[in-house]
Amino acid sequence: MVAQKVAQFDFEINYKDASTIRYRTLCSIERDVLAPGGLVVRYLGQEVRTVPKPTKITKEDNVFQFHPIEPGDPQLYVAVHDRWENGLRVTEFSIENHGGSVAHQALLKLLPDTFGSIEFPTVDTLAMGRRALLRPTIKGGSVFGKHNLIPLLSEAWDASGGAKEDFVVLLEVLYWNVNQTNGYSTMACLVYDPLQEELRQSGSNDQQAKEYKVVRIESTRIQRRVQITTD
Amino acid sequence: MLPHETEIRPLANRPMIVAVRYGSRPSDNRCGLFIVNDWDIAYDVSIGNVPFGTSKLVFHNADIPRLSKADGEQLCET
Repeated sequence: MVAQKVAQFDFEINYKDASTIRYRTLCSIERDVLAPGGLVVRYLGQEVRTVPKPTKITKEDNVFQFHPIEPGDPQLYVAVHDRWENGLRVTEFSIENHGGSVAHQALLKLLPDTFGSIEFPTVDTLAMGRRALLRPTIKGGSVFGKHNLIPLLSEAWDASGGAKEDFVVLLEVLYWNVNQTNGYSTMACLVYDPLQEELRQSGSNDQQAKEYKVVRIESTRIQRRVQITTD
Repeated sequence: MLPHETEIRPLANRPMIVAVRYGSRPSDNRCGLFIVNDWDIAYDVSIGNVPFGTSKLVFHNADIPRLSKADGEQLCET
């Protein structure tokens, strides 16, 4: 929200009662530096909803539905590593296939697109039990820090109000099965711990400083991604 | 009940789902939007994705078949 210069946005919750009358609750999320986590949720109102006529959904609309994975599906798990290489700090992601088949065309991205200046290489094929390393490249970043996400995360955390709490960025890995008939999505939280970073920077020696876990991955969820059309 | 009868339906007999906070759940550190149902039982609860700017807020686990007052806070991860 900070990067998009959005102070507030509305959203709706849809539901129905036992007699199938549909309702819509309108709410908003607002930035508020005094609120826990920097965000406050407000109730705007409830209305009875008129059901719109069915619209035609085409492939170009990119409408997807998520389903549980099945045995034999590829399953990519993400890990993040904050390490040093030739004196330069590098943030590196690894994806590992713990599923029952090969994953194809795996592409990692950070959500929302406020982190759109970061590019990850696509992994063409990842066999069962294999791991691939993905090094992000920050477009327009300096030569010495173009693979280091920590300054960006620190900046985003600071812009969110800088509370002494973890800062979470959602990430998603999209990939396909061997025939490219089924799509998959691995969603996870990239958690930046500002306190660990502070401790790392004030560490008494370099070796001790490198042991702090500044970034970690949590809440991984793998789902099948099925495109919906009415054709 | 027919749609034209909704106007006279007592409020307390309707479902009323509201979002109460956005944050993380201490028990498992999952984060997202917390919703509750204050009144009657609701079915087929869903929250649509929200585009803003060039970004999109995606609610996961936001298709809930049934939500009653007794269920308490329900987390929709984002």
